[in-house]
This record gives sequence, structure tokens and C-alpha cells, in this order.
Amino acid sequence: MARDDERLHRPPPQRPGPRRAVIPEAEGVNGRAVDSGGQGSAGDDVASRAVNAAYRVVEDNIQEGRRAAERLRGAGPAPAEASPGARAIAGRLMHLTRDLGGTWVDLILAVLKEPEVRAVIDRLTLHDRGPVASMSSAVALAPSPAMSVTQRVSSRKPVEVTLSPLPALARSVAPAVAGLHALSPASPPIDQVALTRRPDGGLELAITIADDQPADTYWGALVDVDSRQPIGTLTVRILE
Amino acid sequence: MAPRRATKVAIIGGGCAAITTAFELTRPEMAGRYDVTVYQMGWRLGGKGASGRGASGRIEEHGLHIWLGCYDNAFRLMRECYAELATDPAAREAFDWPTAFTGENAMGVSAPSGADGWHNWSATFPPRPGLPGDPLAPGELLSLPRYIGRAIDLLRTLILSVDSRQRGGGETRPGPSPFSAATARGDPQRMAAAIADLVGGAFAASGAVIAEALALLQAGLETLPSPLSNPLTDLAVWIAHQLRRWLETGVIATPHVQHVWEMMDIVVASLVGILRFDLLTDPRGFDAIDDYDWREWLIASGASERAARSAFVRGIYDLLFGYEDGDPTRPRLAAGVGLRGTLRMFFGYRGALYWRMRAGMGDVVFAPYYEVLRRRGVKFAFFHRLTNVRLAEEADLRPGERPYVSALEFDIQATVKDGADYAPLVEVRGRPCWPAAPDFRQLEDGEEMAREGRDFESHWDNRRAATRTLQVAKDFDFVVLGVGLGAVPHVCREIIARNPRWNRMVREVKTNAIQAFQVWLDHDLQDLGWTGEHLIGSGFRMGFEGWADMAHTIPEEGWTQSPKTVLYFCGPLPDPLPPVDDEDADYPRRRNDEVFQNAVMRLRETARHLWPKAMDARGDFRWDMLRDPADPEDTPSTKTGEARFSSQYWRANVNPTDRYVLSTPGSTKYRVSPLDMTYDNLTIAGDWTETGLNVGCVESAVMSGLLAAHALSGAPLLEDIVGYDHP
Repeated sequence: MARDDERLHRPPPQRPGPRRAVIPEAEGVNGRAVDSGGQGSAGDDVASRAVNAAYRVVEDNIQEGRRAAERLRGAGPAPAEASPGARAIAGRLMHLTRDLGGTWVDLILAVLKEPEVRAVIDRLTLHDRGPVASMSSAVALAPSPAMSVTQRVSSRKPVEVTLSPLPALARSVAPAVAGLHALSPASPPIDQVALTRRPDGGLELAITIADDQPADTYWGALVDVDSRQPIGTLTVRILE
Repeated sequence: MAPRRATKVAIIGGGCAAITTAFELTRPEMAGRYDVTVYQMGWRLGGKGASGRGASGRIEEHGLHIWLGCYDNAFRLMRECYAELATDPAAREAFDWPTAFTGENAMGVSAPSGADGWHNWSATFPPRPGLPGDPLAPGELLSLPRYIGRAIDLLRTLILSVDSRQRGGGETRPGPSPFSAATARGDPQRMAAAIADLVGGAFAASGAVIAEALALLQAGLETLPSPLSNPLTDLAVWIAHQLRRWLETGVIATPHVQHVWEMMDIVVASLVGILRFDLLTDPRGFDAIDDYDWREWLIASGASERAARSAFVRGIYDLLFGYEDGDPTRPRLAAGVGLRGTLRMFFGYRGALYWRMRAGMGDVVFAPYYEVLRRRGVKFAFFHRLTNVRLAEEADLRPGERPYVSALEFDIQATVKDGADYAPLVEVRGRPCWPAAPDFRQLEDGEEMAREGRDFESHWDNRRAATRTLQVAKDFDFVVLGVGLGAVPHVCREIIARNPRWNRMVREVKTNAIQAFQVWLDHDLQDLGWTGEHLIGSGFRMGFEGWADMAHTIPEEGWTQSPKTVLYFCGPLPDPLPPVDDEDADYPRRRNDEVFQNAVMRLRETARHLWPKAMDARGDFRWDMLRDPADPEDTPSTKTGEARFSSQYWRANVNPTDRYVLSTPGSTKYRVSPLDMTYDNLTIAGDWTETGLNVGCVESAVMSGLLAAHALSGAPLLEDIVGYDHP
């Protein structure tokens, strides 16, 4: 047996394992959460820089995305001289690009406004309100009368969802969907549709399509429950 | 005060991981802080990568060793080794960079077609800027948007390669595409018009047009941030559906295009799966899906059954010998490992997708490392077979003292005459190489050992000249256990008995024996009817799934009259039931005989599908094509028929330390990391450890070696190990 003081001892490693998280500032190593209270200045500096950098990228993307979304929402259908099949495909691809322009902007806003994400951002940027202020001003510079809506569609079939821009509603207003119906009597209505409020005041539209729901186009009105007035239209197109 | 002595490090094993650790600990900037001795069983370094020179200086490998263009760590260190060797004017004609490796961009798979047919398909992957081992720009490796962009670039290139093949088949418009996505990028109106023209039937649905359509989609996807969520998942599913319909209704008419679509399907399913399984937000990254089989996960992520069971996917399983117990009917690969590995392999390579070595791996890799390490003062103790890692008694540990290795027990297989250092290298064509057998002339009682047929690399040959025990604090301070996983239960009995984690690891992390053979032919593949490019192929279910044409190594061999080519084959070798006994000294011979039979059958029954002219009028393999090094020049051989195969090279890699580690679903979490601090003076190194990549390959082994070096010295920094922090 060697005496402890005779033996050399291995130094501890930097950390016990790899950092796998794609968003490193929110997680620690090997799934262990970062101790937000005892991280130390080095970790906060790194995380703060990462979050601020991400904030600037997101802010730039939001501004660009809003401009793109507005342009695309005004884009017309495919040229009439194309064949019906070609027009259908072109239309679907146009919807794709438009949805990309609109949806991801809403997603970014929704993620950034999640309470946990806000808490991390606020803690790490207490000393510097710049990014928060500039994001707010970006929103102010590009006002939109449309309410922010997140779409969650659960379907095994390819589906197109088209929602007309909704006006900003007071938080007390509870909008609802007055069913989704198709012209063909062989296509039963889609019942699993819900419109709920997000914590940030926007709306979340959740649609569940049954596996046996026939391919068709379904329309429905969005209604202000209090005033009973329609505030928008919802179109769901099941492609096959 | 006396200067502190150097820390003595005993490195057990001479494979990629162990040699990497030795290389790191003895860097000039370490200033001699570590006194390293490598203890190696037998006469040569290399472990599973060892090779030797046999008759006519021919290269005899353990199997088919190909380096991938994403092996950033392995190439970086290899290039540093070559550079250091080049500064020594006394260095012999060792290989150097970049002549030691040659890039290869074609990958081939063979797939069943009809009742008894096969068709062969190959894909050419585009060369990428830079060379493997070049410094990476920040964010270059880990950016998911970059992967997405590269995925689409790659798919476009694959489609165009198919398109050029099809162009003679009645296209209404020749390539390249009559419209360009570049002009529409950033302009929604132009984008709408381009899309309408595209789908309006104005152009034949050629590969070029499809490729430009993908570019249009990429223009929209480029703005995607992370994290993502459900609506974008559904959108990706929708895209996959549209692409599939688009291709299937007008384009897929040949097996080649089908395979391209299958690859596209896998890429898109991977992206969908990353979103659907929340891998971007899971702190475990891709480890979170390691309990799934990769193929099952792809299907759950929307891949078609056809794509998930395609020759392309099977080729990945073949590449990693991913068959439990060597059974080809039981493909098993952890999904996180498969996803991470394929992303890195196909979208992270520099230069070429594959890199072949110009000679044996022993010559190209381990001889240069040996030369550099010797010059740095590393000592090599050959013919040292580790028999036990002894732990300090638990009762003797003080409170708070961590367990530690108190001794290392070895069998000395042979001693060198006059107490000299064993000189392991020979020269072939002026280059230092490892011989296929030890130089018995240097050994005490060498002639007798040669007559007895001593096999110093065999687990079942435990004859010894002496024993030796090294003591902690006297003979070593730290230990790097760099043996193969299969050897761990034999040499770490005390650790496994006391440590539940190690016990679990050796039970849950599986290994396969591997079989391999090589044939030297007097005809090249074009003569034999092969119409494709020189490539690495896989797909045949005959026990040797992987094969490659290695004609480029012939000039490095020592033939007076060179054969035209040499073909390498390898694949998993199922274990016998019941398991073999450690005292069964005849086991290696029986298994070698089995591999001989398997190889003959492989050539006889499947060669026609690849090389139609390799068969004679009776439908048998043309055994007369085999080059026998014992045949005098210009003299007909006396051996005929399949008996000529006995002059070729084959081996059953059944030694425990040679077994190939698998990444089966549910197993990766049981790997122990080299960074583990359980034992105060012991770290581990090998592709079987928690390397970050967690798969059996050179890169994984090198990463493990770097981790082991960090475990002992704090260097290199973990963030400098490329890909260690990959999701």
C-alpha cells in the first residue's frame, strides 16, 4: 500500500461530461440545470453575452420577418395560365412561404415572452436594458393591427391552415371558433378546434384532425363571444 | 529543494486512443512533465488498427479501415505528427501529409432486386472546401441551420448527379435548370413566379429543376431561428409529403433516383425528428433518443418504410457493424448515435467524404506515431500482456481517500536478447512498416518460439517467459487503460467486482467479433466488368458487408511483379453458442477456418453481381486470378480451384481486445467516461468509453484519448476537442 502523501492524485476535469444542449445558456452539463444562484461571474458573463447576441439576431429577424410576412400576405395566386394541378401546387407552395413568413415571427415572440425565458433574460440583462428596449422599439416602429396567433395543428395528413388577420382584442375578450364545416355533406365538421389566450395576451389556435377526416376544405368563423360579432375567418384544407 | 520528478504514466495498449494520450502528454509544451511508457501485448502497436507486412511485403490488415472526412480530431493530430516527423532529417521515408491519405467521394450500396438479383448503386458526394483537420470556424460544427443548409446543398448535388446519369433518357430540356433560385431569393414576387413556372409543366421534371426547387425552399428555411416548435414540425412534414409526391409522380422511374429519394426522405425525417422529439431543447441533446433504434426512430419521425429499410440506411449499419451478436437479422444502432454520426459524416466532412490510407493503417498511422513518440522519449515495452489491474484494499483506504490502482500485473511474453529494446519496424519500399509476425531473431529462445507457433496477440496463448508487477508511486503514478472493451472483464476483475457502474458497462455495452479477408487479383475491376467508380461499398448479406477496392496500396507493397488490385472485405462474425472457454486453445484456429469458408462462399456466390467477368464458364469464381506470393514469376501455379484461396489473407478477429464495440439502443448511458473520477490514478481510453461520439471508430477513439489526457493533465481543454460538445 502506498501512503496517500506518496501518491500523486489526478486533478479534477473541467467538467464531468459533454455539453449537449443546443441552447447552452439555459442548461448545464449532461442535463444538469445550471445553478442560477451560484453560477459565479464567469458563467453569467458568458451566458449574458450569448443571450444578448441571440437577442440582437432575433430582433433583426423579427423586423425582417414582419416585413416579409406583410409582403407575402399580399402576394397573389399562381398565374391563371398554369394548369389546375400546377396552380394547386404553386398555391400550396405560396402558402408555405407565407406561413414561414408569419408563423415563425409569432413563434419567436411567443418563446421570448414565456415566463421562464423572460426570467432568465431579465436576470442576465439586469445591468443592460438595451436589447429589451430596442426590441420594444422595434415592435413600436413596425406596428401591426393584427393579433398574434400561434397555430398548433395535430394531423397525420398534410393540412393547410389559413387564418385571416385578427384585430387586437382586449384581454377580457374571449374569442371562439364557430365550428369548421365543408360544403360536402360527406365531410363531417371538424370539432376539435380551440382558441385560447396565451399568457402574453395573444391567441393559440389548436386544431386536431382525425385520421379519417375526409380531404376537403373546411371554413369557420372566429367570433367575439361578448359582442357575437365575427372577427375573422379560419380555413382548414385537408390535402388528402 | 530537488526538482519534482516527472509524473510516471503507464499506458496499457497501443491503439488509437492510447497512442493519442501518449501524444498529448508528451507534447513539447508539456516540457517533460510526464514520463510515459506504453505497455503493448505482442510486437506491434495499433490495436484493432494494427497491420503487418506479409509475403511480398503485402499489407495484411485487421479489416477495412477508412477514415471519414469528418474525423477532425484524428486528422488534426495525424497532421501534427507528420509535421513533427518532417522536421527530423534523420527520419526515414515515413508517410507525410497529404500523400498518406487519398480522398474518395463515391459511396456504393448493393440492394436486392427481384428474386435473385442485385443492383448496385453509387452516389458521389461533392468535395468540400478545406481538408480534414483544418481549424474550424466558430459555430461551423454545431450550427443546426448550417446542417440544414448543407443537407439541402447535398440533396441538390445528389439529384444533379442522378440527373446527369438520366439525361440520355428523353428529357424535354437538357440541364442545367432553365430557371435559377438565385434570382428569386429575397423577392417574394419573383419567387411566386418561379414557383408557378416550375410546377406549371413548362420544364421537364429533371433533376436540375428539382434541385432548384429545393433551393427555393431553402430560401424560406434560411430564416428559421431556433428553438422551433410544433407548427414548423408540421410544416416540415408537409414539405416532405409534397416532395415525395412530386418526385414519385413524375421522376422516380429508376432505382438510382429511388435511392436519391430515400436519402432525401432520411434527411427530412431526421430534421422532423429533431423537432418532434424536442432535441433542440433537451439538455441531453441527441442522447435523449439513444434508447430507440435508429431505424425505428426514423420511421417514428415520418420516414417511409422503404427509406428506413433502404440500402443507404443499411449501409450505415454495415459501416458500424451494427448487428447485435453479429446477427445480420438484428440491426441495432442507438438513434442518437446514428443521428449524430450521420449529420457529422455527411454534412461535416472536409475535402472528401472518405479518406483511404495509401498503405496499411500500421504504416500510415502507427509507424509515424511510434517514431515521433520515441523521439519524444516515450518508452515502449513490447511483449507485455496485462493480466490484472490490482486495486488498493478498501480496508486500507483512509476516510475520504478515493480508491486507486495499487499495482499492474503483466505476463512477459518474451524477452529481448541482451536486454535491448525491441526494434519493431521493418522497411518495405524504403518506408518503416510493422511486420506481420514478430522478429523472433531478437528474442531469447526466439527460434523455439517460432517453431512452437507462438501467437503473442492471441488471448488463448498465455505462454510466458516471466511475470512482472509494477507498483504505484514506484513504477507508475497514473494508469491509462487503453485495452479493448472485450479485454476489460479479463484484466479488471477487481474493479468489476467492486464497481457496479463498471459491472453494468461490461454487460450492457456490446461488442462483435469481426471477420475479414483480402484477395490480390491479376485483373482490375474494370477488366472484371465493374462499371462504377472506385469506391467503398456495402450491402451484401453474406457476412462481409463492407468491401473496397484498394488498388492504390499495391505500389506500397513489395511485389516484384505487382497484381492489378487488392480487394478488402469485412463484416461481423457471430459468436458461437455456448460462449467459448478461455482454456480452449484451438478456438482461434477453428474460427479462422470458418472465415476461410465464409470468404470462399462470398466470392463464389456474390462476386458475379459486382464483377460479372469474375466468374468462369461454369459459374464459379475464377480462382486462377488470385495472386499467390509464393508462385515464381512467369510460372503457372500448381494450386487450382478454390485451393488457391489459401494463399490469400483472412482472419477472425476474435481476441477480446480486438472485438468491435457497438452502440446498441439503451447501451450508451452505461459507458464510463475517461473523465470519471472514481479511481484516483486511473483513466480509460478507447472508443468504448463515453467519448462524445460514442461509436466504434478512429475518431471516437482519438476523442477518448484526448479526454484521457485531459483527465490526467487538464489538457487539452474540453472545448478544443472537436465535436465533444455536439448535441
